[in-house]
Amino acid sequence: MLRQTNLLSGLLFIVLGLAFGLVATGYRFGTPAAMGAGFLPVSLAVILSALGLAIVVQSHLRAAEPVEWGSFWPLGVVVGSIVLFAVALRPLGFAGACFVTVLVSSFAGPRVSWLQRLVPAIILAAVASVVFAQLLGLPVPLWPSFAW
Amino acid sequence: MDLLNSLALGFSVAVTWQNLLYCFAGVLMGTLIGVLPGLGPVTTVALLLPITFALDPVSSLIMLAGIYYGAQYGGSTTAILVNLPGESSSVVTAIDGYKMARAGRAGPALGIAAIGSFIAGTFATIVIAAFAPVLGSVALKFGAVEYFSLIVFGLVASIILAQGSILKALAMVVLGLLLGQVGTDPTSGVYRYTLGFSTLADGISFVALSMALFGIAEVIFNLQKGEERVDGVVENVGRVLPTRQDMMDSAPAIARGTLLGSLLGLLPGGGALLASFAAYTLESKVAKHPRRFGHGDIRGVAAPEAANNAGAQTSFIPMLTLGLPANPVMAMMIGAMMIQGIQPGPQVMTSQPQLVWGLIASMWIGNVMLILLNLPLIRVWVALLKVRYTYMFPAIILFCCIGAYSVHNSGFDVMLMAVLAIGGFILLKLRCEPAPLILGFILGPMMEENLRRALLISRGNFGVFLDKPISLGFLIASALLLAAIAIPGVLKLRQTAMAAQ
Repeated sequence: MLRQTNLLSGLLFIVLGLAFGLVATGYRFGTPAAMGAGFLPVSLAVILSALGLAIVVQSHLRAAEPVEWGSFWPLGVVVGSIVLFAVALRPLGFAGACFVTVLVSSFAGPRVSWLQRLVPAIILAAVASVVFAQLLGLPVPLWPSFAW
Repeated sequence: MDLLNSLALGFSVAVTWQNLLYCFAGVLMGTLIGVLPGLGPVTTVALLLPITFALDPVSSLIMLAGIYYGAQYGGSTTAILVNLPGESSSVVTAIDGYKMARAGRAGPALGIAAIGSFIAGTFATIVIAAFAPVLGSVALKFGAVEYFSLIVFGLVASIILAQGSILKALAMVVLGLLLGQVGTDPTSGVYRYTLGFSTLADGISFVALSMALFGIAEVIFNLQKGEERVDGVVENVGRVLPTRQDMMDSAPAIARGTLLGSLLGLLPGGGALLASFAAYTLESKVAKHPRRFGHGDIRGVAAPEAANNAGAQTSFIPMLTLGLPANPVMAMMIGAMMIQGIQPGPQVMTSQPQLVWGLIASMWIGNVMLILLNLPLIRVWVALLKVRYTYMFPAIILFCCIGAYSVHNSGFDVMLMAVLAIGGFILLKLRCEPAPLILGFILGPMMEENLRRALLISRGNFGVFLDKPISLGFLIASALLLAAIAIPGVLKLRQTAMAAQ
């Protein structure tokens, strides 16, 4: 029964509201005339939780709509390739980071040959390097730090 | 004569060779990316946003605007030729447009879409030039109280077009407001929700958030569905220029679509989507032979195309004069302005006239370029329609990474984008729309500042929002809007609109 979009989103909003609210209790609340840093966050968090609760209640009145999570493979590969970009930027340089990100992310899609993965990776890395590093002057080392 | 002087200033800014170049580049790239199946204007603008950072503020906004209407037009091309609307605002165009294309009349459908958009764009530019100063001078008289209520109204309006339950859309607005709280509290200097990361002291990067929600999360969602084979591309475009009969049939439809679109674009939450649906519905009601609608009637292409272009352009009015975004694309324009160091709001009209008028003038120039560009380049666009998603999505991911990185040159923002993308994916799966969240995020800091100021002046009395007539008006309007969304009739219209998506 937890596999239902409305119920699950309601619960998610309640939890998020509680989390935001609890953290915000650490900030000074203040008064309406002189609001502290915590005034709006706490108020918004309470509203979020209340809305979440209303969504949970409403979900019992409406027809259930099941959540279809689908395969987590694309999610994992895509997120992994993004993290890789951030990590690879210093050691591999901009061109290298672009290349590995495109190459790795291509595994999130359907099966294609290695050539069909490598060629786009090389082309995109080259185009991105020219456009962003050369033309737009992104302050980032273009080549691997061990190159010279 | 003030208007003429302002327009003259605008054209003097827009007709420098470099701004013409950026406008052209924006229109070209916007169309190029917008034509790709499955990429709508919001994603296109998000993807191309970082390219504009290196430019000066005027050029960057001119280019972004060009990207926006370029992408809008590109989406219509996709809708007509493959029946795969990239964005919801071209859904209705696909109904009659694709039928025309199948019947060998792809050329006239594309032609009338371009001509209708151009006429609508020209009219909308005049509307902007005439109304922006008026609204801007009214807005200058707004105090913190009025502003707060206006923002509340804007946020409520943003949920009109959200899919599914109203409560979920409201919760997304509030979540957006909370995400906007991350960073240093401007009044006390306290770090809020930074979780110990000093890089979060400036808040969540707007680019990282919008790319995560509209770029990455979408990609993951699409990949899960597996590759949709792009079938039935109509490749034989033929003569692009519509016949005399086509023009005669379309003229009144274009006129009505333009008027309706200009009006609906002004409303926060409205913009292009509502405009194209309303225009199509209106045409099918007033037309002489309504039965032909849905079977390749040229009026069914002309009216919504004129309306969505007019709506897209007039939605700049609340953005320029009030600093209020009517849709996610306008939220990105505001984000871009802030990255350029311009505080959006009514003062922009007076403090940056060359920016505002340069942008307005460039819109018209951009519309001319759009029509000059599209008629001869149709064949190139047709070729692009066949690009497989398999080769497209790694490029989208790479562009998002570079974009998130380029704002502060920080790898942290790239990591943040990855985390936000997971959140965005979960929300998409739970059928929570990202658009209200992004508007809440943009408007959050502005709302807090005005709420604080208003209550400071009123010594903590919340009644002040009801005492001032303008503020009361906005609050009543918000309440009416909420009630209206709940009324069955409107609900049904929403449902038909959503079902068509």
